[in-house]
Amino acid sequence: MSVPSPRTSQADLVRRARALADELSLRSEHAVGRGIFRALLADFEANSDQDVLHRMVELLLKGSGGHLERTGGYGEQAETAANAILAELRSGDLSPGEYRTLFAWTARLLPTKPRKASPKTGPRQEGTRRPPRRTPTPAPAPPPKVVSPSRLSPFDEKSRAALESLLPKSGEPDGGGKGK
Amino acid sequence: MARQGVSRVASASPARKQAPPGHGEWAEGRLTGLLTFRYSTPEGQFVSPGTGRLVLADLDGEPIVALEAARSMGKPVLPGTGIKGAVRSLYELTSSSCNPFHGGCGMRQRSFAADPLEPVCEACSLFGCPGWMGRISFEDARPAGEVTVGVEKVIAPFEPNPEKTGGDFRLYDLMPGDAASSDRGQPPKRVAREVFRGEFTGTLTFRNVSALELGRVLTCLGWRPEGPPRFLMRLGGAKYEGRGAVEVTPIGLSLVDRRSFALEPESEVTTRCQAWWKEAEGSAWATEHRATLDQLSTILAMRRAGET
Repeated sequence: MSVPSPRTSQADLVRRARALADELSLRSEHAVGRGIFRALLADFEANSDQDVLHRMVELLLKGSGGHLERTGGYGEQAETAANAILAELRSGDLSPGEYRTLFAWTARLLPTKPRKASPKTGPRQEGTRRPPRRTPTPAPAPPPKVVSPSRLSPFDEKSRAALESLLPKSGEPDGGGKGK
Repeated sequence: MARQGVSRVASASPARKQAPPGHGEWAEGRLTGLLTFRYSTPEGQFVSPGTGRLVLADLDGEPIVALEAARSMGKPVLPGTGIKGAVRSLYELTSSSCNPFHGGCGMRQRSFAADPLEPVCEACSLFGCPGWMGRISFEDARPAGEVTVGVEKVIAPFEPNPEKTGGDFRLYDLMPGDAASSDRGQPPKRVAREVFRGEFTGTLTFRNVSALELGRVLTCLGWRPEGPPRFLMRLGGAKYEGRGAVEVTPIGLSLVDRRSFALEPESEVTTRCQAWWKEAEGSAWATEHRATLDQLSTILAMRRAGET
């Protein structure tokens, strides 16, 4: 495990929380709401005991307590949130206080009512357990379009037509034609 | 799954409304003071006021993730808000009251003592509504002696389905969860939750209430002066599995003396409560709601599995 950095700025923690909240609420198959995220962190918020939190989410993901089997989207949200928390804890680059700040900001940035899961998601099969979900990598942004500059492109059609009428036509003494 | 209880019966007549006595003074002929109760879990019962949070707990020496039960300063409590809600549910069930979730009462004007207050239904008059504080409040009940904290696996809560219940609420008897009651013959899913067993004490604060209102509150707590309780009040989670039953007993009383402005302790708490209870039992209210009160006694009373 890497040694926690001596100090991470609040701004960096908030940015990281923003990214985590977006991941959980916008890009996950089962969007996580604020309530369920905070439900996993209540004890940690009070005592900052990272080891207890780590053990708890690991046990939760193994099915301890039966909470992942709850219906109404609760189980799926809890699983998604637990995986995200575990991934952050395993990076090990923050102090307990910094993790508390990170997760507190993440909770604040999550919606109170998450969007509903995509309809193609089927019911959980009895007796099976999905492997821990990989956080999907966002698609790379497309390269910017290269647009050939045109002298007259900033102008509207009417203005362009008026300007073009002023340009010397081919065969005339000034020659040159268009696009010189 | 415990047998389903009775849903709220829609009142045939609209909620009767009246302006409540204001908070600005202690009204003549009304009672203000503190009533202390003991809440105890009977044999075979537990109460589990959930917080929605998950914690690492212990079950038979093994760590387990459980739904946390309410704490205050690290000690188990029965939240006053939960007690008030449980009492209000039964008070509404046995009264001509609005539906607070659909077109309920509310006071738009500020409740200054000199101004006449807007009329509200009898439940909102006592328990409060938007713009009106209400005249009774329950504080958190705290342990009196030893309260054990354990973990139990109870049937996982269902997603609420208001279309099936028509917005009514249900009461549950004490029959334990039926393992064969789930869909497709599969055993029901269970979740771990923290539970409390033992005795708690908590106080009801009342302001400008009538003897009849206090008698009705005592009735809704399941108490009666002689014999076993009429029924056991339900608190916390897992009610649908026949759990959450508590026996409520008044153990202390202080009343405000309007002349001296002092709060005087009463030694004859049971005698005073008996008088209020009898006033309620002999009133037009009891006559009007006798059938519902009998249903409550049938459904919520302490009964062993298999008894009818």
